[in-house]
Amino acid sequence: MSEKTLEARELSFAFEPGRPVLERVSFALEAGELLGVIGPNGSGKSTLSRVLSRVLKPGAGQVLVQSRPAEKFSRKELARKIAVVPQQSVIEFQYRALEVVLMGRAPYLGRFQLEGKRDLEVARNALLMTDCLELAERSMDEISGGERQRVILARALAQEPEILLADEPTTHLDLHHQVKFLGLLSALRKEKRISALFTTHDLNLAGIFADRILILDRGKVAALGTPEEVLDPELVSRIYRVKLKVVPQIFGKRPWLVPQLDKEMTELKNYAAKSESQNQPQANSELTNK
Amino acid sequence: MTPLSRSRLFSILGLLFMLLVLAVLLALFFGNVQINLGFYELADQFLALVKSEQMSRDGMILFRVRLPRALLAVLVGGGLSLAGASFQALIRNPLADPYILGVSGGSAFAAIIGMIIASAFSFAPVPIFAFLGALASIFLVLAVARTRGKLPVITLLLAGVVVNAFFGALVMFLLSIASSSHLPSAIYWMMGQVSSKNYSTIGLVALYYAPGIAVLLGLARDFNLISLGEESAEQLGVNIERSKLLAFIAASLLTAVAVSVSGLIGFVGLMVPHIIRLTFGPDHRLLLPASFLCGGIFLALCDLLARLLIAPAELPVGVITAILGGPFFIWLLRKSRERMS
Repeated sequence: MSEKTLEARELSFAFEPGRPVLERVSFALEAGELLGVIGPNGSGKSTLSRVLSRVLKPGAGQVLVQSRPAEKFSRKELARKIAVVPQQSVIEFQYRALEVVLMGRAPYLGRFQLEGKRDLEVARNALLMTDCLELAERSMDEISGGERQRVILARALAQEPEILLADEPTTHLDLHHQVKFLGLLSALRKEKRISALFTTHDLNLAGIFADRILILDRGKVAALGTPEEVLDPELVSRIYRVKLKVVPQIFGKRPWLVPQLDKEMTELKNYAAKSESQNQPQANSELTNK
Repeated sequence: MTPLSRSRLFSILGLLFMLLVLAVLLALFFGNVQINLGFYELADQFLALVKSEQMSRDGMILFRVRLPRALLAVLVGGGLSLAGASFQALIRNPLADPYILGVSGGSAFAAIIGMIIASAFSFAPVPIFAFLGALASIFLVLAVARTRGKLPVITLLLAGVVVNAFFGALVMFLLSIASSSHLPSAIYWMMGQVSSKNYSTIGLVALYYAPGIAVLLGLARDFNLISLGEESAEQLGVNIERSKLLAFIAASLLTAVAVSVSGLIGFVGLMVPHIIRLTFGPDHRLLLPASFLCGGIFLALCDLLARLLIAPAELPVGVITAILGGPFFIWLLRKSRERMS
């Protein structure tokens, strides 16, 4: 039997009364599982990871961490279990990358305790895993957005968490590092049994890397299951209000959805043809004007 | 450069402490009156001070006038710098400073009320009045500046300026209507001045400082984590609301005590932490104690300048810090605007 590391039970949340952002969201993350959360803008993805990490207090329902209610943990205890990679981080003051990663060790240190040898080792290892050891001595405001995102991921890994929550972690990454990042999450779950929840707009990357996918639609769970079950073109098309079709058999059984843009493509072609035919005389008239 | 280790921390702080001693010695031996005392006479006069015996004129100048004044400058400069560094960490902005945020203004106003009450009832704990004034003004400034849950730099600076001007006017009003024989002069309040106080006052300042300093040093790592954003700090185990509240209270206490013994000295808390960040990096576990020591060095030297520049007359030390601090602030503002764009 697999154990549940993180469980959401009927979670509801609203910033203002009467306008729920999350409504009775329930799911369980198993040890070593990679769960992809997808859904249109405003469907509650970011709010979900904030409620799960207890930055926001749920209006109703419960978050269980290893079968224990999250509110029973102290902040520090919770930080040893759950690490969060935020969507965007603005870091004030010019810390070097290694200093930022070492901050991930804070949950393990006493108030006046400085980081020791082992903390440094963990931090360097985390930098190595996210492919940015060479950035260690660089100042955080000298490096690019994607590099910063990787350093932040290294900081989360330095927390040695059992659960990793990543809010659109691949948004600022180039293609290489998108694949690498999700590959890393995938490897971590096998090697260290770290379970991870990541939100994304990339259905297909989620489909390839995630063990299961949860689709949020206007704060409610619209579907939860393996990519094969969930990435149903009809369902996803309805939620995203874009017609999608499956391109079969690119990655084994994993579905690959692409927008069906037949109409748009025809329009685009017509437009191009039209403007071409218009451009010709226009260019001429410009010449004659001169 | 390796991350902060015990040896790095203590060697830097040790070095700064030696510089601080040096600055105090400079303040002791330079001044309007030439002092010519040999080592044995010095030791002799110092013993006389400790035993409260009769002292020579030179001994009096050194140990009853210049030393307490230098020590007070060290405490005031150190307290304002540590408060400045803490406000900067809390607000996540290098432009914060007790003076710019209006905290000093609020303290001064409340301190004067305390002094007026003290003169009527022959007792009132002035620093506690100043402390309440400081707390009221920081929370007022934050409430005014907060826009949709955020603290934009511009509104924060504007709110600070307005609160400062408002309390400045109230200070002038009180000074005009109160029989001012027992109140320090308007210059003292508006420009800030370090003067010779007796040692019991200095001891009292140190006593009021102690809890504030202890709390802020204990929050140093929380300040580091807050630099990543309040949410991230929370997710890294910081009890954010408690840490912030404690820090605001402690930094306000330091500001209030400094203001009640020296009036409004501006820009120290802005310049000193920034220079330390440029030299030693932003880690608050080093930045906070180093700011205290360097603030002490800085204000002791500024006060020496204030005594020497137009000797035998004196300038208020706040004139010196403001002349240095104004351009510094503008430079910092331009730099942080470049970073934002």
